[in-house]
Amino acid sequence: MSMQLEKIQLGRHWVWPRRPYEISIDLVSSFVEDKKVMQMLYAALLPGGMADNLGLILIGPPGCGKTSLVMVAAHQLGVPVFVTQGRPDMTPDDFTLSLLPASEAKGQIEFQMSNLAMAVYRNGLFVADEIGLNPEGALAPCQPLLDPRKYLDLDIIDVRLHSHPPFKFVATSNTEDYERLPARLRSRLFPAIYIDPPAREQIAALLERTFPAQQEAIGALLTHFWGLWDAMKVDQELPSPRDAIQIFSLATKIAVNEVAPQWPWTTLDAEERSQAWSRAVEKAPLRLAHLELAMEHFREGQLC
Amino acid sequence: MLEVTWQGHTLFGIPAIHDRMVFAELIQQAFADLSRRAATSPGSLCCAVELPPSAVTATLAFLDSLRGLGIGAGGEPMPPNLGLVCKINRLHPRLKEEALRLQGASGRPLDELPMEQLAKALDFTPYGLVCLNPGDSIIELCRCAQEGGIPLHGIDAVPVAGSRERTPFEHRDPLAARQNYPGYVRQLGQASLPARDDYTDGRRETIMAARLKTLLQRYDRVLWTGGIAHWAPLCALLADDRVQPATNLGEDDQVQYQRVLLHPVLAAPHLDVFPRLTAAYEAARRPVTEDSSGWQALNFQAELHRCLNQACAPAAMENPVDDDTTAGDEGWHRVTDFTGYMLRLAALRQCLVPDMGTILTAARSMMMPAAFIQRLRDSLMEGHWASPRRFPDLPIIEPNFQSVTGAGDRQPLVSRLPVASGEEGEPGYVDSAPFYLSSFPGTPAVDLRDYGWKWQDAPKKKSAQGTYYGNNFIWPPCEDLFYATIYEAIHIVDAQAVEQRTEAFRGSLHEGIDLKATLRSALKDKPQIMVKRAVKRPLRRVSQGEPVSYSYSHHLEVQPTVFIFALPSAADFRHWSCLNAGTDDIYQDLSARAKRLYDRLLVRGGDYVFIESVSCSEILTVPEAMQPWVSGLNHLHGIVRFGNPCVNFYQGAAWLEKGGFKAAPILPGSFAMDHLTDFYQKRHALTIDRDDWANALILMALPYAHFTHRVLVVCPTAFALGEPLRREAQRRGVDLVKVPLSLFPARRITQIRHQYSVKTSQGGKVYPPELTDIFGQTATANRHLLPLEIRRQALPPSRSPARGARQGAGPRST
Repeated sequence: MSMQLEKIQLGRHWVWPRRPYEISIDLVSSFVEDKKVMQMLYAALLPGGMADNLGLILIGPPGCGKTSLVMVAAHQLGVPVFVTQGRPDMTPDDFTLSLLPASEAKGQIEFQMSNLAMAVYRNGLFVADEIGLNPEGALAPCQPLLDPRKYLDLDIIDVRLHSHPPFKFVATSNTEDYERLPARLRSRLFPAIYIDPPAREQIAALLERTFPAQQEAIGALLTHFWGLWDAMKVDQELPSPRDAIQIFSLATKIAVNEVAPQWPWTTLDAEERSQAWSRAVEKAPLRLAHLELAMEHFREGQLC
Repeated sequence: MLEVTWQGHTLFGIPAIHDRMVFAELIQQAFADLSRRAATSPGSLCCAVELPPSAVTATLAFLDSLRGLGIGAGGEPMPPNLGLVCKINRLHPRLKEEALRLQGASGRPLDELPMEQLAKALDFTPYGLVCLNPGDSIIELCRCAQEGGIPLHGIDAVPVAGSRERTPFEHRDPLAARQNYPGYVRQLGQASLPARDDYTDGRRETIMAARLKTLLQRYDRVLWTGGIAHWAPLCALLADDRVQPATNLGEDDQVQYQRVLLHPVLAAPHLDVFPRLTAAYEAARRPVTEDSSGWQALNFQAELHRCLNQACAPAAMENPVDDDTTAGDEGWHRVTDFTGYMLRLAALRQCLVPDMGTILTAARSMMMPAAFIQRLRDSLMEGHWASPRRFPDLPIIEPNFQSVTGAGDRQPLVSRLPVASGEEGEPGYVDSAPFYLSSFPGTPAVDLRDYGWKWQDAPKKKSAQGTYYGNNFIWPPCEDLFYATIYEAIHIVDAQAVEQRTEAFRGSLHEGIDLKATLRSALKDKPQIMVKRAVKRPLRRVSQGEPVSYSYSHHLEVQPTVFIFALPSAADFRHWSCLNAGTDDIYQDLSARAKRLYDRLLVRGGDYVFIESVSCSEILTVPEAMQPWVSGLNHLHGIVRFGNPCVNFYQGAAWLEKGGFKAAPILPGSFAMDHLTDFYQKRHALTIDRDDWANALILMALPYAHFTHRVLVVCPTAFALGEPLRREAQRRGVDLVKVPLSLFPARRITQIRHQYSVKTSQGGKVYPPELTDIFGQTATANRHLLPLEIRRQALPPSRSPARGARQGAGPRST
């Protein structure tokens, strides 16, 4: 049950806050743990060091778990986390204050704090996911926050929010987009923590954890999965954890569909659907043929 | 030093973490202590180590021969990169079934199967290594025993191949052992229990305990050192009466050890937290026979400070490296942040002094300047490395630099075996097949190759006798770098996004009213109508480092690109030349679909030359040091490139297929410039004016811009396109897109202007190994800069499933 939000006062204005991102236990349990990267992240996040630097960036190929890593770190540090997904249509307002029509009084305008403003206000963690997708101009308000000035100006209401520990600005980016970031922003985001794609054993362990219902046959399934993958890919390229999970998820859906194609899924509410799904997965063991079919879909680019 | 008594005799133990210097220091202290005790309470003493007897014999013999060379025992410092390799002929029982299955399936005994197959199928490596690391407690005890004339015994069992790599366990920094050694041993003994291999460890400890009992029967005192995890089980077994003293000490084990020289990148992970410490330890070490009263423990922190000070030396700051993948000069100001981050990272990794991996990773993450990282790396790697010149008879074990390993894969090694002396008195070497060593982890803590560290003493590689290098190709790293720059230019132009800007209404609504901005102006009591306006962003500069490898796009390799490096007036002397992707022989190399297309468009056996680029350049003299492997050197003034890197026959054929034989000129018979201008006149009704070379190069690109209807011209800002050229482009519906040359780092432009033509064999598939030494990079050094799809084109058909089988094709000459 979510709590009703209440306006907060900033200067002489009342503004709507935002809720922090709720980190699910599933996410915490199903990510690829790279101990060395995690240590590098903690070394940058823990309060008390690097006095002048509030920003850091995680760089890695798509699907390698950059965002999950930050979420898990935030969860373990017990700080509220506010996330903004990078988009090409972002404006400076999306990093400061947004305007929205008042719900009660017609024709009036109200303000809503951005996720960044909330993170500064609540001394939390701000995650600029895929920062390279934002237009250059939209990120301009972030700059004073990432240098010794350490403040965020909310120009519209003439308020300056100063950051305090443990506030941190964590950006994520894939390698290509990182190179496209303007130098003035890149030079403010350090340490730059590079995440390598996980190794075969790490992906296998992740699949084992994520699909516990297949525990009995997981050995054979994984052997078959790697066989299919190696036949499809050259250059020893491994799947990203996201790809691997998607292939196994699709194979599971195919298996369930064989057993219960006509289930009235749409008539069930979310909780009932989740329970029904768990029962169906138990009754529909994953076979090698399902994996082959899922891999075929993946190869054809139908798996998005 | 820990003590256990058995039947009135004393076992002194220095349980240790291998390769950590703190425990080698404890050995020195123990020797001094035992000498003092001997003065007051005489008694016989012997030493015992956790090595098989044959390994101890080989180690002592090696140390003895080093003393003969004046190394160690008060002479020159002992190099940290010497070792002993043995072949292991005992297999762990967990591998028995799989080994039998493999033998049955292959019909061959295990030792005749390829090493890679054994490693993959059984995770089995039949070679073991004893690294003669001066900072290791076992090696230190061997040296002390030898110097002091004390009997030394190896009491371990012979090695067994196929033991699982120990699961790493968290342990406190060994420096903590200086404060409370017994507590440290107790704590780590507990922590290491989950990492035990019950079969091998239990068996070895029983053998060691039995042999220790025999030694304790013979001597009053025994000084032992070995792995810290063995100490508690050994004490328990000594107290266990069921374990009887051994009837023999295993001197009859027949394991043979070969002396080797280790490449420093392989030795470095064995040398405590960084190699410089070993050098400092060795410099301060005195033989046990000398007075040890002035002895002081090594100050690890002080050594780290020295490394950091060297990296920050004023000379480094004054000479920044401009091919920097990290930040520019301003990065120097982050030294404080870097050290803070490094120390926090070290604290999280429970290190009192950070290791080389932590230091270099922190430096790179904090975007420290390349000059800083280089100096730091060199400083950490400082040491008295043994060189092949000093040890010409020893094989060199080094990483197989040619191998491409996947994430987490075990690192294959290669042994360079010395043969009869090469040129100029240098030792010659022949490389072995790749193999693996059991004591090397799959992935080292820090791969020094990533940080560009080079062993200056590494012997140069030579071509095998009888190899004929008859084809001339451009050195692939030059081509790869050039094309990566082209693809980057294409990407910059494609990504020149339209940006929405907001401005006050001045009579035109442009892209419509910006409601948010209008409302905001009202809130600020300056009401005005704001409109959105689309503005093209300026082209962005590329980063200072190497090109970014962008994703493959559909017409990436079939859009002509022209580079004008110098203004025509500034480049008077010129030489025209063409590069080709192959001749009509390439037919053999085409897929079935491409062959059908070829037959429809061309005549089989028609003596064609497929042009890949035309350039205008100055011919430079090939430096003497590069001869005879470099056959030509051109300094480019301008070039039109139609294709992809075409580094070998496979890639040339792949590009021709991709363009359907329409992406570049196809000349009958010859690729002389007269033929080319005739071809353009007859085929495209274009007159190529060779005197106006810059416009001529762009003109040549126009007929082949039919895939994207544009030609990228990367040129100095001051370069003006000729009016006839503009008209011709307009007539053909081709956009001429100028990209300023200044967007690219000057250093890279200088690099790509130089085209080195080198000798190869088998159509670019085999390059003389001498070229690696000449250029300081391998032929594939810059492949990673290209999109995956382009890289795949250069692979043989078995590794490139997208295309049909290929055999040879025509050579690519300049």
